[in-house]
Amino acid sequence: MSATLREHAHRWAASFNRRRGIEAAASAAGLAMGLGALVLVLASFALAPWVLLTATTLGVAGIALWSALRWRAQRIHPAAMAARVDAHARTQDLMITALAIERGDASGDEGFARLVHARALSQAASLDTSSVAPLKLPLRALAAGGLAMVLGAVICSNAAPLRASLVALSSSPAGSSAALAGDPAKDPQQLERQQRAQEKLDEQTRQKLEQDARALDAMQQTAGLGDEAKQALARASEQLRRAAKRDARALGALGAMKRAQREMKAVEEQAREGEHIDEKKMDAMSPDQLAEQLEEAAKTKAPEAMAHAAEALARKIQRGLTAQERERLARKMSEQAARQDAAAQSPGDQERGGPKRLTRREKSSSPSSSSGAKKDPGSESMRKLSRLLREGDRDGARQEMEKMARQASSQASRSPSSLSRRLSSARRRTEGARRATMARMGEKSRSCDDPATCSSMPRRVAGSSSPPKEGSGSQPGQQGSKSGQGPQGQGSEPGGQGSKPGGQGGQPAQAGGKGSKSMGAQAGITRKGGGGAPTPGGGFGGRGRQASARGDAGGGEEWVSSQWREGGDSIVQVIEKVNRGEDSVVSYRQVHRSYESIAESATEREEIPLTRRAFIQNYFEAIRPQDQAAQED
Amino acid sequence: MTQPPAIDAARIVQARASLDSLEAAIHQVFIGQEALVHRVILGLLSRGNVLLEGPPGLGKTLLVSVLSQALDLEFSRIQFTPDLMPADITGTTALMRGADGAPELTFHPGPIFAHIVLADEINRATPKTQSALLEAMQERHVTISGERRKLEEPFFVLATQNPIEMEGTYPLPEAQLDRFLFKLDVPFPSIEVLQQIGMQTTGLEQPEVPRVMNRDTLMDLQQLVRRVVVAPELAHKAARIVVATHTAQSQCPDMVRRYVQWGASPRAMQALLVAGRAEALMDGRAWMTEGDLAAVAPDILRHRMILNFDAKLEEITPDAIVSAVLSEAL
Repeated sequence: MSATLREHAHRWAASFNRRRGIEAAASAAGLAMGLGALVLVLASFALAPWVLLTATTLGVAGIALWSALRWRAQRIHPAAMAARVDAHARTQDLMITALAIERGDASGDEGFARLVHARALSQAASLDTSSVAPLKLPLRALAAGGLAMVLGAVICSNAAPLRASLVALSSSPAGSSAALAGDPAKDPQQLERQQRAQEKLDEQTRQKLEQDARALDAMQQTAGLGDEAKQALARASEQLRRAAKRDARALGALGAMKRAQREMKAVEEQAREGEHIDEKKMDAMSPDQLAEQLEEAAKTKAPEAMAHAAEALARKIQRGLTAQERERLARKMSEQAARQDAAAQSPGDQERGGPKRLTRREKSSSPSSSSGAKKDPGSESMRKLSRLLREGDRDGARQEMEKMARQASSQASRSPSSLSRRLSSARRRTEGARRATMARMGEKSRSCDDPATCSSMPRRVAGSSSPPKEGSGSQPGQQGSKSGQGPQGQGSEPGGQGSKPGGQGGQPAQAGGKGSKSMGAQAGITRKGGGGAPTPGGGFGGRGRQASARGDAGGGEEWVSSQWREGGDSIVQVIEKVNRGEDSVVSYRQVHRSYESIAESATEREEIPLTRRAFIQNYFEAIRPQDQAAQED
Repeated sequence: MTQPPAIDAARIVQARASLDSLEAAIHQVFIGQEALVHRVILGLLSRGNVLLEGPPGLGKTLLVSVLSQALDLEFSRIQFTPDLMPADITGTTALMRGADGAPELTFHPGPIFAHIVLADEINRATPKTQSALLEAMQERHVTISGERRKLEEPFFVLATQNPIEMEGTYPLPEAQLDRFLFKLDVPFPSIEVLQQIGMQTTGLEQPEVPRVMNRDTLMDLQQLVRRVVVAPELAHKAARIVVATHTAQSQCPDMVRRYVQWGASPRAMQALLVAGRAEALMDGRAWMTEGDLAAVAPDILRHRMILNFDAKLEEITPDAIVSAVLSEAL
């Protein structure tokens, strides 16, 4: 029996497999072109040679393996090819039957087998199997690969400017268009910037960053700080240290600073909401430990920690202490009071800036500031607490401790030493360092994620040399003409000084006298007065009215409301207009001043949790008119 | 056993011509139902037995009668009834007086001793009587009074059953169903065919069936069928078809898994190859193809799968399942 049909089948299969091999190779070529383009692009961005070599080797090996596996999966054997030929040429399984006959595997009569084989041979000779799965080159893959190569070549030839543009993109989205616009090959400034991108941080910035990192380390020691906040602070500190390394490039340092800022911002937000303290951790501490925390917080001027420690102690007292614990706590309190008094009387304390460095609000809220006593106000409470504990007056002791917590919480909301403020300062410093570095690297325009922090940063804005606070309106500002003396309020600063140089955008300037900033209200003097009487000052911005408005914590809302109605707009209308971005006859600043005292008194109410008060006060701080906030800061 | 005659291409052509003439002869009297006739001839060529299922009056008996006339073979008809006894089918031995006057046991063959047997309404007889047919169909002999009597070749049983009158019937057991090569559904004729039937059968002249083949020719063709070449690849496909009807096999389609209680037996595999070969011969080919398998598979598998209750509830037909099996296996 002739083996010709088998040979035919082998030939067909070989031809088929060859076509599939060409297709696989063409696909591989397309992929290889893509890989080549990628390598070109990466190479132009100064990747390490070993990285490129490894990536290329792995890529080529992967493509080769993929092609081989693909070809192997598509490869066909002679018998299967015979079946394909049968299906294609509609020979009704003649070829596979004839092949089986050749192999001796077929069942049936030998005479029939001869007939079948002869017929298959005669047909096989005339069959054109090239149309059985013809060659189909992967044109799309090849075209895509070619296109990628062209793009890669273009990118490679323009690598320098693109790299600079990418640097700009990574550091400032707003500056991306400007960075991409120029032709770097013709622009020596951009080339210079590229060189600067390789620069390192200057020593001054590095030292600042290290200082901030140390500050963050110190913040981690805050009593009762939650694990999450602690970890975030640790990460921020690590990022700052990474940025401050001597061998770190400025570009990398920028990223590290940005990451550190993010971490700081997260903790800052937690701190603002009073969520950074782990109350469970505080509750787990013994009264002795809490008392130590309290003292430590008082020493380090950390009112937040004081508030939380005091609250935890109050809870413990409410739950009940053993006689031994009570005695120990009472002793500790009296010792602490003595130490605080001693510290308050020592001249070094004054130098360190305790009372002197208090803000006006702190001064006004502190009874000692008005009385002028050398004793620390906290020490009085501690002594009283010690006495109450010794007397076994649990409720009295608890109330005293809660009072202490409230005072500390109130202080924390204004104190620059609160964690959120310290973090905010650190973040601003980091932003300043970042922007300074960027400026040094030659980037002019910068976007700023945090406008509040940007305003404090050195910036070079083209075409704007005037100070941002300065009015550019058509009408000059009006100085407050009235003295800051309400019927009951006692302004500590003289009135009659316009707080703003001028109105803005043609809006009538309504700057009140500075006397309106009288701290009398905060010092509780006007509160006693229980004002509400119309102010002699009259007109907007009269400080007498402001003072009297502050003086009335309870009925001030009605009074203010009626006053603004007289002016044309009601309070609600003013606020709504501000929300809509419209101008009102009454400025939002005036409305805010009137409501400020109401808000302050509201936050002092018992029903607001101590740990939330700072958050609420921060909210009122946030809605303060910007110029007013700047004045106070 | 004599050596089979040498085969040449002319032999195939001749065989096809004979079979074509047989079909044509049958259609002279039996009008329409071309597929049915084709399948019955396939069964005959494959030396199998055929079960016809259809309502009364569709010409089942006529078909068998015409077939026997065209083949010049002995034909007998057994009307199966509940009181039919096995001996009524196989025959009996009776004490008779011989030529010399001495009494002797004489065998009186039953209607089974014919070349073509029509078992009409087979499901109306008791299982005992049905089983009498079983041995004859499979073994091609009957045992009467302990004596085995061979049935003369060719032997072809064509049974019928009525699917609409099931009361008082004894459904054929699976073992017996498996012995039928094909189960053919007899469809109702089309309007044109009905018209032709009416015109042709109600006049004075009744058409006669020409004898186109004799017993030897038929047996020769039956031998020829077995000589058709089958490639192992096709045998593998036939095996895949059978396997796909079993729920325990991973290759079975989802429909089988859901609706089939028990799949086809290995006898179905034999039937597929034999009937496929016969189909190839009727098509004038010396080798079997996948198309031949696909053509005969529904008639072979239809009665060999036991469907579950869900299939009956959802009115799933065996043909639908066979279709799923074929699309899975081929």
